[in-house]
Order: sequence, then structure tokens, then C-alpha cells
Amino acid sequence: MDADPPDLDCFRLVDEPYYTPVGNEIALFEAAYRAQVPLMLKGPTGCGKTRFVEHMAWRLQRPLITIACHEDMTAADLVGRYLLDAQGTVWRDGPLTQAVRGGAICYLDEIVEARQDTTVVIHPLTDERRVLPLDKRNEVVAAPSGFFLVISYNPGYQSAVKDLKESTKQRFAAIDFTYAAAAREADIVAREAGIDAGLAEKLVRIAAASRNLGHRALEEGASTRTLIRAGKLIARGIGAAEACDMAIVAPLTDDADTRGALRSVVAACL
Amino acid sequence: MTAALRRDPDPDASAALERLLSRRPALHAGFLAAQAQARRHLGAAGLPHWAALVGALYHANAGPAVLEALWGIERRILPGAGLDTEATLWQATRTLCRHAGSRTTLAILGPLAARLSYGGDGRELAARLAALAGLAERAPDALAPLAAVLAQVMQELPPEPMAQWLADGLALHATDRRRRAAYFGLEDPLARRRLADLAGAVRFAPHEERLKLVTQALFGLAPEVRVIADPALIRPRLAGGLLLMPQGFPDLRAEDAAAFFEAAVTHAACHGAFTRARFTVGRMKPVQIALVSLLEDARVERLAARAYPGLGRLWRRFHTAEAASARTVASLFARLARALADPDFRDEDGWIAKARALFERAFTEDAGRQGFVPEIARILGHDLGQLRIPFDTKAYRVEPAYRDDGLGLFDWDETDPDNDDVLELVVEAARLRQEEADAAPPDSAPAPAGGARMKGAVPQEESTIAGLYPEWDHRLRTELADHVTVRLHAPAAVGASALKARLDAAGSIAARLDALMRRARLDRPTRLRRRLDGEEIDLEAAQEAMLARRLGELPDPRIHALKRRQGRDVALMLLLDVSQSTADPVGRDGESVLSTAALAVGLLGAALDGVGDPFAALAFASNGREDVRITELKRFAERWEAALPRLAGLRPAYSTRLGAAIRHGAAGLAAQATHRRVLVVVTDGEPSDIDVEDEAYLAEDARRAVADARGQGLDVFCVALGAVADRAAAAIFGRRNSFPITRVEELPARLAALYFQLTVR
Repeated sequence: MDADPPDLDCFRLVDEPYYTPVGNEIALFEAAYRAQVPLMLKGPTGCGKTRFVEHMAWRLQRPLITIACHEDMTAADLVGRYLLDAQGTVWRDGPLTQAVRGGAICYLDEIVEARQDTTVVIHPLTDERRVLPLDKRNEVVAAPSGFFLVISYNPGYQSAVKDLKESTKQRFAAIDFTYAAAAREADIVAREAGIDAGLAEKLVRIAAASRNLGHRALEEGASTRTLIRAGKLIARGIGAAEACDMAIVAPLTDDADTRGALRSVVAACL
Repeated sequence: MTAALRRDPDPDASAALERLLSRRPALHAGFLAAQAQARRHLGAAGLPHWAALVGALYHANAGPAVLEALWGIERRILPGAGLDTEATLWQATRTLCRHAGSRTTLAILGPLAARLSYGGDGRELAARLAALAGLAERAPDALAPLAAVLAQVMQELPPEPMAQWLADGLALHATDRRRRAAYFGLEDPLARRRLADLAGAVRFAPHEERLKLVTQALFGLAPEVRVIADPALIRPRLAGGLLLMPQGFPDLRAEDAAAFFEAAVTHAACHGAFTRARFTVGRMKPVQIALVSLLEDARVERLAARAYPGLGRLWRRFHTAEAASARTVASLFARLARALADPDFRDEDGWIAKARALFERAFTEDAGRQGFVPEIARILGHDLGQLRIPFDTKAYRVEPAYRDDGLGLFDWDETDPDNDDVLELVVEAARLRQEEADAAPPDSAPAPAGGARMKGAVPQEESTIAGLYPEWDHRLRTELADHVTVRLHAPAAVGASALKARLDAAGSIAARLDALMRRARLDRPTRLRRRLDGEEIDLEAAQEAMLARRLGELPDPRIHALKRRQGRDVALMLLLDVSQSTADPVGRDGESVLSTAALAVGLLGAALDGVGDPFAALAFASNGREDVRITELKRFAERWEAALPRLAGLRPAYSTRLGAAIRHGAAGLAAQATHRRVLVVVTDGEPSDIDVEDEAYLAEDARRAVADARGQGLDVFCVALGAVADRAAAAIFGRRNSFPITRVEELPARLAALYFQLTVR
């Protein structure tokens, strides 16, 4: 049974997701999309990788299927499996197969979380073949030109067990993400959290200071996301110091000295 | 030293003693007065106890002067002191007399009595005396030198830290009388440092780590703080990259300490960030120097507060000078400091108004231009002269107290030789620069001793060739086959009791590791699919089985899944750098890098012993390519206990030929049949050897060795001690695979934790 291209309209983004470019990444993404070069987005947590993909899907008018990878994910979870119903067996496409058939952008978020032997199923999709073999169904799905594979990858994890296979890594072109420059980050925070520019600037300053501690006392500094969270709490009427404590300081560290230091930083910046 | 009272003293003891002393006219009058006083304050019931105590000391041949001295002390403390204190006082003095003689005892009692005020309860004195008596029992010779400096020691240390300081001295120099005398006479620099640590660190230490992070976060730099016990140092002082912190601030309340030290350290960091160059002294007068320092303080604080308004608020808390009409330097300067820090501060004084206006104008024009500071200082100093307000260099104190004293902002070498007015300041600044040099790690001191011993030991050492390894020449881009000879050197046989004691002392770390270990042993559960039996259905397999049945095929019966905690399957090879540089001391205890690393390996080894991971450890150093020296600390097959004496016997020497060591370690590890094989290198520097001139050569070779080891399926990591090693390691092992430990003291706590982080999913 040959399935028609599935209807992926529910995966289309109607409203423009807000995104301010940090550098040339929009042009890079578009070029990679046209050239059908799979893309890896590298960067610290909460710097806007996911938002960027959403924005690009909207911009390119493609449906976007996002898969949050996790350790227990199997290849069948990605490509699909046979299910039983009253009449007999039914094949159900997995999200990756859906994306391939429907020519969607498939975004594998935090791909290092998935086990390495799971992620090899994407290999045939990432070279010239651009196909997805479904061995159980004895079918090879060829990807239409609209299909595009994007993975995100946070190199900050200092764990040997969580890394991509070299053979997986080298199939992707990469865009390096960093946090936006201070003024732009403040714009983003102000807009997303609905707070005034002055306060957003202060929050950004806190984040910049905390990033100075990255790889020392902290694994990573405060991300743009935490700033937006703090800003949202402030917009709800929580005191600025309290909101920062709740959204930035407390989630970032359990170490008493580091916490004390971050609180001092918050107090200094506000 | 316990002060036990005899339960039932002779009720007539007092009268008997009185009869006895009536024959000693020199003592009798004093005794009667003391007796009357004791009766008044201790009551009739206490009197026999008191008399027994006095009698005991008298019979110990204490001599009249000691008795008189104690009675003198009693006059001050008795109204508040209880019998317990009294008992300690007399019995401790008796111990002192017995062991150190009455002359020394008198020398000790003098400074003790001098610290007493009327109406105290004497507890502090009794505690100090008990500690001193304890010292007298174990090292009577130490008391004479100590008596000379006792006043200073007591000035700086409360009783408990003082007892600690005494105990430290005993522990450090248990047998060597000469060095003991130097310690207790405060001639030993270590004794002074220990004293400073115990005195100042009491207040600053709890904030140190936090403040380091604060300045690192805010300014990207962390001035190293050193607590200095020097009565002349009243304010913090910048000295090169150091911040010298006075050991105590008399007026500082405990609840303000956190904010105060934060203010002091962030202020110092502001200078680090914004004071670009030191000021030239030239012909400046002391008053101008003080003004330059004050204005520069205000300038850098303003600059910092632009980005961090909270810091401005923090600093303003300490500006307490009120507007006044007083026209003294102390008042004017404190008010000016406040006026520049606090825009809402009102002060009608003309000089301050002028200073404010000048500063504001210059600051608005170009805040980054440090040069406007001496210009304004010259004008203001001149005005003060016109107003005939005298400036006393000695009496002047920078206000508020968190600010540095400004001496570190000047280049004293550039002083005009005719400028006699600042001579004192020059001397003071130079003295502290000496302190700075003292404070630097004394790497020259311990090295020759160790080096000499090693030189003597080399010829007798036995070694066997363990293998020939290639080396990568990055210029030729080729491997030089059999280029390096790795030799196994027999470990020195040394008793491990000291190391064992240190391992025991690190109990809190061991406890944490214990918890980690339990978690490591109980790995996260993994789901095992397609089992014949199990606690749940494997949906995937069940689907397929059902399908097979419908299709009329034979289904695969393995349709269950179960969750199992799988055993760990990890082997570790640890490579420990023992090159000469590991002789450098770290931290306050004077332990070397190597002995700290040995402790860390000891803790890790004990933990691994508990988990059951196969584990081997090698120490490596090199003396040219013909002699890469490997000492086997522990082989995979050996029991852990066997490694301890070898670990204790490690001595730092020679260089670091990292690549060869990695190849040798990798060869041993690759033979292990575990699922994961982890190679961890602990090093404190970059690769180097005597026969290699090209700096990049050994690093490139090590990189190659790491890549080769990874090619064999080994996980290779580096624990880098200190900044130099970190930079080198990142290039060799990759940023993700090297773990910097900036404070080597932390290594024991971190190493094992790191290992588990690397190997526990």
C-alpha cells in the first residue's frame, strides 16, 4: 500500500515566530536548505536554536516536525512500526517518516540524548541518497526536495557518554550559536517578557556576568531563556531580585558559594 | 589540662596555709589580703578549695613572685570568676612552674595579666593558661621564646585559635627544638603565616570563594586576597595582582562582614578593571597623593556603578560621614568621598563643593581619562594648603574602611629624589612589596632539598625496559619508530602511615565519595528487551509476535522486557605526573602538588576498590627519550592496599614526556576486556623534556598519542592542575576532555567525583 503524502498542515506555522538574527544565520540556513545540506545547530542551552528553526520553517513555508530526543528512543519511534487493529496489522509512520514523506523540516532536538545506535537511522537521509529505508515494510522512502533535516547539539555537556558518533557529526554542516550581543539580547528579553528596556538591559548584564563563571563554578551561564523567564515573572509583579533568584540563581546552581556570588551579582546589576 | 577540684579539701586548709606562710614575711601580707578577698567572693565554702589550690602551687616551689602575680590576677577577676576558673588558673600555673620553671612562668603571666581588665570573669585567661600549660607539658623549651611574643599572639588570636596555633607548632616541630623555638618565637615565617591565617581568616575566609566568583562574574578578574597580620596594615592594600587584607577590622560587626568584604573586594576589582596605569609620584605631596587616591577611588567606583548600580548602593552603605563644619583633613576627606559617591549628599563646605564641581565636569567630559585625577588633586591640595589645614601622613586613614589605602595605585620608583615629604610612604609601599614577594609561592625553598636527595638516589635505582614506543614528529609529519624507551622504575619503599593518616583525615571527602560510589554501583536501570520472561510486555516484540501468528508463522516467544541495573563495566588507567614541578607547594598547609595528587589518587583508589572497577595507576616522569620513567603504583590485578606504600614513596623529579606515558598507559589499558576503558592523566604542566627544544614537539606528540589511544577505543581525559596545564591540556586532549582544577587543594575532592561523572550514565 503506497501512502499518499501525509497531510502535514497541522505542522505548519501560521504566525511568524519572533526571531532576531544574531549574525548571518538566516542566509546560511536558507542556502543549506536549497543545497539540501543537513544542518546542525550548535550552541549553549537557551540561546534560541529551537526558535530559530521555527522561524525558518515559517519563512520557508515548510511544516516543522520537532522530535525531542531521549535515551529510551528506539529507531522504531523515529521511523514507525506495525500496529494491530481489528482488521489486522496497520503500519504507522513515525515522525521522521512522516516528515520525509511530507517534505517537512524535521528537527531532532538535543540529538545527543538519543543513543548512538538509534541516530544512525538518519544516515541514509543525510548523504546523496536522501532516502529513508523502512526495512520492516520493505520500502525505501525517497525524500522530496522540501525535506530538510536539522539537529541541535549542545557541546557544553561534559560527558563522554553523550557525544555524537564521528560518522554522524560529519554528515552535517553546522551553524554555531552564541548568545546575542548585549543590546540585541536586551531587545529580545524586553519583547518576549514584556518588560521595559532598562530592566531588560539589567537582566542581560546579570546573564553576561554569570557567563563569566561558565566552565568554572557553573557549567554554563544564564541563558536568554532564563532571562525571559525572569522578565515574565517581573511582568507579573514579582520583585526583580526575587524573580532573578527564582528564574536564574536557584536553577543554575546548588553550590552555596556560587549561589551567594550570583545573588551578589544580581544585587549589583539591579 | 583538666581543672579538677578536690572533692573534700581539708576544711582547715586555709588556716593551715596561713600558719605556714606566717613564717614567710615576704608572702604573708599578700596572702592575708588574697585570703580575705577569696573569702569575700568565693564564700566560706569555697575558701578551703582556694587554699588547697594555693597550697599546691606553694609546695611546687613556685616562688613568691609567681604567687604574688596570681594574687594580682585574682584581684581583677575574682568578683566575676567561679571556682572552676580559679582551679584552672592555679593548676595550670602549677604545671607551668613544674615544667618551665618559675622565671618563665612569670614571663608568661605578665602579658596575660596585662590584658585583664577589672570585672572580667577570667575565663579567657584561664583558657589561655590551660593551653600554655598543655604546651609546657609537652615542650617546656618552647615557653621562653613564646613569652617574648605572647602579647602579640594574644593580641591577634582569641583563646581557641591560640590553642590551635600552639598545637600546630607542636605538630610541625615535634622533635626539632631549634625550629620549635623559631616557631614559637615567631621567627619562622610559617608561624607568622599560620598566625595570620588563624587571626584574619576567621573573618575573611568564609567569604573568599564567593567573592572570587563575584568579581570573576562582574569584572572577569579575581584579585587574589591575602590576609596579612601586620599591625601597620589598617586598610586593604593593592600590591601587584594581590589584595592584602588586614587581618581584622576592629569596628566591623559580624553581620556587616559579608557586605563589607564584598565592598572591599569589588572595590579592588574596580581598580583592576579601570585603573589602567599607576600614577607617577614625582613631586607630589602626601596630601596630593591621598587626594589622587580618593578621587581615583571615586572614579573607578562611578565607572563600575554605571553598569552595576547595585555596587554603588553597596558602597554607599559604608559612607557614614555627615555634613559638618569641621575643617580637618579626616572630616573633609570622608565627606568628599561621600559627596563623590552619593549625589544626594548635601554639604555646604566650599572646598567640597569645588572638588565636586571639578570632578563632575572632568568625569562627564571623559570618564575614562585617568589623567584628570592628579590634575584635580593638585588644585585641591593647593587649596588645602591655602586654608592652612595640616595633613598628617601618619594619622590619615582612608575612609570608608573598605577602600584600599591607595599606595598600590602609585609607581614609587618614579619618586622625585628631592621629594622628602613622601619618604615614609615610599618606605611603607616598599615594605609591603617585600611582603608581596614573601607571599609568592616559595618554590625555591623545598626544591633543592628534594632534588639533592633524588640525585643521590639515582645511581642505585633499578630499572627494566618496559618497551620502545614511537614518537610523532610534527614537522616531519611522521612517526619516529622506537624512538622512546620507557623504563619501569621500582617504587621507593616507604611507610604509608602518614598517607594513611591523611586519608583518614579526609573523612568528609571519603564520605561523599562513598555516597557517589553507591550510586555508581547502582547504575541507572536500563530496559532489556526481547526476553523470555520479564516484568512487563515488550510492546514492540509483542506486536511482532501477534503479527507472526496472524500470518501463520512461528512467533518469537521473547516478548517480555525487564528493567535491570546493569553492572558497571569500566576499567580505569590513571597516569600521574610526578615531574619536578609537582614539588611546588599548594594551599596553606605547605603540601606539594604531588602529595595532594597522591592523596587524591588514594581517595579515588579506595572508592574504586569499593565499586570494583578494574583500576591501574602509573606515575610518570622523563629524563630524555632514553629514560621515560614509569613507576607502577598499582597493576590491574593487584589489591589496592599494595599501592599505598608506593604512592607514599613518590618523589617529584625530572620532566614530563606526556606522549610516551600515554602510549604506555594505553597499551596496558587496551588489553582490558571491559566495555569502557578510561585513561585519565593528572598533570600540572605542559609536556617538556631535557632533550627537546621545540616547544610544540612534545605537545603535538601527546596529541597524536591521545588520538591513537582514542582510535583503540579508549576514552582519554585529562585533569589539569592550574592555568598553565589547563591551556596545554585543552590543546592536547580537547576542551571537552580536559578538566581544569584551578585550586589544587580541591583535587582530592574533585578527582573521584570527576571519574564517576565520566563513567556513570
